[in-house]
Amino acid sequence: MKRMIGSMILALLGIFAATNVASACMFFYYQPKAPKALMGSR
Amino acid sequence: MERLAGQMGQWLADQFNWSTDEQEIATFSLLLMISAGFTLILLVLFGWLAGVLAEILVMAGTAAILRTFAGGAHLSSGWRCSWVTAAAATAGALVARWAGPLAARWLGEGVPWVLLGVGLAVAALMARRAPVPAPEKPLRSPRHRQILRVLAVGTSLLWAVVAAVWAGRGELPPSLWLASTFGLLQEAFSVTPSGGRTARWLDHMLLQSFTKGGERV
Repeated sequence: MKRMIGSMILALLGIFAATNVASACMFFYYQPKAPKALMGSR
Repeated sequence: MERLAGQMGQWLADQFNWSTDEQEIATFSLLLMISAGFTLILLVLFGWLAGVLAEILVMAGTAAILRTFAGGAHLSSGWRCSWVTAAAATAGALVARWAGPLAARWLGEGVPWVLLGVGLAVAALMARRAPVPAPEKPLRSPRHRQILRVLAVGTSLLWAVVAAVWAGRGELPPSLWLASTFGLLQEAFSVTPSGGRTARWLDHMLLQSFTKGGERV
């Protein structure tokens, strides 16, 4: 159960992070350094 | 913000036994959420206190939508970004509230044409400059850049048509179309070299001027 909750939280956070990486800049004037795992193919 | 997101990411990774990559992604996502959430709270608070909540949300919303595809100048911390975004949107919203009715009277029947012209000019600028990536997240794929450019131009053109039609029908109060125009122009300025220089100067000035809890914010 705990593992499933962890996977769900990670999936939601991952979708949000991927959306940011796919856009030019999301949300105002700050862009934190994107994780390498999400930047591999870009 | 960075520290809070890092602590939350670390806690989640410990709880669910995540890998380093998974922890990094979670921390990045949490930092985006905290930064955006804090900025939205400031925008609503400033807008409510100044009595220009609708204008502030329209201005910030217009800039944020175009920024999603066009990118632009950045500040180097979430705190500075939030305060500068809220301050700029409040100032723009107050001017829009005051000057909107005057501009509508002065322009008369020409309002839709002016909005159409602004939208077309911004679309031309986007075709030339967008997307402007952040060093923290470079856009290396030409196809990705091309898609974002098309979306930035399309968003500007869509804005031009919608704003012109709504304002022409009188369905949009002057303060709101002016606030939206300010948002569009703010984002347009952000993709220019001058916008980048202004953001760096602002970042430097704020870095020199403010500290929080003994550290620079």
